[in-house]
Amino acid sequence: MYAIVKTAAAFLVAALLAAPAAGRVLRATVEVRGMSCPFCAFGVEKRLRKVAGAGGVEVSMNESRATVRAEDGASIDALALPEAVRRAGFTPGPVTVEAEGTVRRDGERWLLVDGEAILRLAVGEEHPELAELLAELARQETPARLRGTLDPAAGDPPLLVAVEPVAER
Amino acid sequence: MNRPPAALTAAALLLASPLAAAPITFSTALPVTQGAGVLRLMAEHAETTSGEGEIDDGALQLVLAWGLSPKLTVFGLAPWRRTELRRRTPAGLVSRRGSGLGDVTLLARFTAFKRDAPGSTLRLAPLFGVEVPTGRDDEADARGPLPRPLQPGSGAWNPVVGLVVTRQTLGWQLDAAASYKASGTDDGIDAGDVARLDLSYQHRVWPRRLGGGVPAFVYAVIESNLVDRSRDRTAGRALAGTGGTTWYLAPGVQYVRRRLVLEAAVQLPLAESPARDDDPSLIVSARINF
Repeated sequence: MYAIVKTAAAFLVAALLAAPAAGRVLRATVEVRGMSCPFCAFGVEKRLRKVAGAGGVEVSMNESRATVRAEDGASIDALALPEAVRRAGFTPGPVTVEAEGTVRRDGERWLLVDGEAILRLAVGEEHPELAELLAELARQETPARLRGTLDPAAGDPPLLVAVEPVAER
Repeated sequence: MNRPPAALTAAALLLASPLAAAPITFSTALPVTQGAGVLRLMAEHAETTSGEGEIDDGALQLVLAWGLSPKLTVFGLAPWRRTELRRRTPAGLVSRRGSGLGDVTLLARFTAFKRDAPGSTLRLAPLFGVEVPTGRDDEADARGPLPRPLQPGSGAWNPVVGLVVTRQTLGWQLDAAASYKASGTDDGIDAGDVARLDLSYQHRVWPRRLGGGVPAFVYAVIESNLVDRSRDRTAGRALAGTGGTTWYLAPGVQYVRRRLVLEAAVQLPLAESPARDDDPSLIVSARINF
């Protein structure tokens, strides 16, 4: 019986870690390279609105970026943003996300978890203060809001680098 | 009868495709979003005088562009033309008129090179296609068949190739294009091929400083079109009064929003060989993103 429960738990953890969407991403900003006129911005907005979890899109021409806000209760599939920008005919740059969840430690990995949505958090040895902060947040088990940049090469679950806490609104 | 006003030749209409803050009189290399389209409605009017009389030429063109992929865009161009020839004769003023759907053009444009940076892009795109003889070329009035320049269609399949280079920043845009239309043969007449060299500079004049979001832009536009048309030939002989080279300069203005572009330009024939007496032509156009 114990073996069955253990196997089921392992499958559950594996399923959670393989969740296709990024974590509970409330807001994501992608740099759009090559977008230089208002008429071009329309296509970028149109493609970004089709990304899963996207509720609204705001483009800033002079900052060359587009910000996607999540639908109520949804999480933006931040990994899909670069492809959306490519389909609009432009070149995607870094994707910065703001995500909310509970910080957990899984072995050597730090995770931001909200239900089935998981984000991995990169914590370098050069930032011990971040590790301390995450450890504290994990102990408190209270929802935390973090900001970071997606590592496009990391795959699923999305990996956030340059993680920092988001100031209280 | 000479050729129709060069500003209204199929080649001119052909490359006036409906893209982002693009040139008014020809195409651009800027992208159309995959799964999205742009519709352009363009009106052009010109009056010319030739040895045959006064020619009043108007065209409405509907252009649809669709992004098949981030690099591949297809275009369909359907012109409606109305051309009138007025000639004073000893018997009085004689007027002949032809109108109707012209030749539909199907084009594909492929982005072969792009270099994107924040707030700027450089793109190179070859395009190719064909003008399909959908327009009637056998229109007649009470005096008999209309002369060829009054016919809405050419009656021939006319392949087109071209190359467009675009450099765009938030403040200005430069487009350069070269294109060639190989005209086919209809009723034993081999219409002259058309070669074009086009250049366009668009400068954002408003807003002077960019704020946040997506503000509407106003561009001042200046365009140059060098159009060379070979002489029409039949049975190996060149037809008199056909062919020639014209250099146009077209100042204009564009109002560009997210979903809409409104624009107008006056195309001035600065130099013509052989000498003609073409008047400036007016081009107004609207483009809609969908």
